[in-house]
Amino acid sequence: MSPGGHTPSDLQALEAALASLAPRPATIDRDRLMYEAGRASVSTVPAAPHGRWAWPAAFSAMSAIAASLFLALVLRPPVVVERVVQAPMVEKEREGEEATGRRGDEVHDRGELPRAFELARGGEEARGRGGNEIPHEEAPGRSYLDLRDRVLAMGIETWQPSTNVAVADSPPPATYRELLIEFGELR
Amino acid sequence: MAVVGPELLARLLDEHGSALVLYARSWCDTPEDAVQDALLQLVRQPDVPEKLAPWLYRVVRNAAISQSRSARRRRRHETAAAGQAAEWFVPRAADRIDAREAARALESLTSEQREIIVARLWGGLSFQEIAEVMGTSSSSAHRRYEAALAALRERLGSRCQTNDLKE
Repeated sequence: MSPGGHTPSDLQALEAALASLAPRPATIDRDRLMYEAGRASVSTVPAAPHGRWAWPAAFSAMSAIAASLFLALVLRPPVVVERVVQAPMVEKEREGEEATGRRGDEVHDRGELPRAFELARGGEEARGRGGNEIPHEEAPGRSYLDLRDRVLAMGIETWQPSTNVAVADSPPPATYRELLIEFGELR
Repeated sequence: MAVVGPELLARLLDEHGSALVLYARSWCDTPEDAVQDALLQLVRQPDVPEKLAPWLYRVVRNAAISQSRSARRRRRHETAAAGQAAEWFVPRAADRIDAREAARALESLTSEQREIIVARLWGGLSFQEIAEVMGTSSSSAHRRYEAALAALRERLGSRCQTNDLKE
C-alpha cells in the first residue's frame, strides 16, 4: 500500500520498506462472522426517519410548556375570592316590623323571597296565639313545601316547627293500661 | 433489514481485516474479537457510513480500548504481546526489512505512534481520516507520523540502512 503524502525524503525509504510488510491475515472465523451478522441483521430495527429529532423536539416542547406554566403560576396576581353569605334576617325583620308597626300584609310588596319571612312570621304568630292555631293560608298539603322553601331560603336555623308547641299543649297519649280499660279488656 | 449484506462484509474482511487486526493489537490481546465486533456493529447500522474505512478504524479502536481497560487483561496482554510481536507480519523473502525486527520496533513505540503508523501504512488512511479517528488535527497527525517514523528508523537503524544499501 503506497503511503504517499508529504513524508520527508530521508524517511521515505523506511516508509516504503515498512509498507511492503504484509500483516498476518486475520484469523476471524468467516462462517461464524456471517452467522452472527445474520442474527444481528434480524435484530436490527431500522431507525425511524424522524427518530433523530423527534424525541429532542418533544422534550424541548414539554420543557417549554412546563417552564411557561411555572412562570404563570409564580407571576400571577393574587386572587381575591369574594363569597356572599346570606345570613338569616328573621329576627331583625320582625323587630323592624314591630318597631314600625307594619303588619304581615305589607311584606308581600317586597317580592318573592319574603314569602319565607312571611311563613316564618306566620309560625311565630301562631305560637303567640296559643300554638293551636294554624294560619289560614297554610293548608295541610302545603305546610311541608312552605317549610322546605323557608329552610332553603334562610337556612336550617330558621326552622322552628310550630307543631312542637301544639304537641306540648295536647293531652298526653293514652297508656297501654288506659287503652285496655277503654276497650273493656281490663277492669 | 440491514443495509450491509454478506458480500460487502466479506469484501471488507478481505480488504481491511488484516490491517484492522494489526491496528487493534496496539491495545488488546484479542484483536480479532474487536474487529469482529466492529463488523457486527456495522451490520446493525441503518445506513452505510459515508467514510467506511475511517468508521471501521474508529469502531475497532474503541472496541480494542474497551477490551484493554481491565488491568488484569492489560498485564496479560503485555506478557503475551512480547511473544506475539514476531507474528504481526508474515515473513517473506521479498521483504525489504526483517518482519520480526519491524514488529519489535513497532512494539517499542507508544500506542499513539503505533496507531498512526499502522493506520497510515497498512490501513491506507489519509492524515485527515487519521485525525478524525484520533480526534486531533490533520497537521498534528502528520507531525506525529513523522516522529514515529523517525523513532522507527532510530530503532531499526543499521538493519534498515543495510537493506537500503542492498537495493
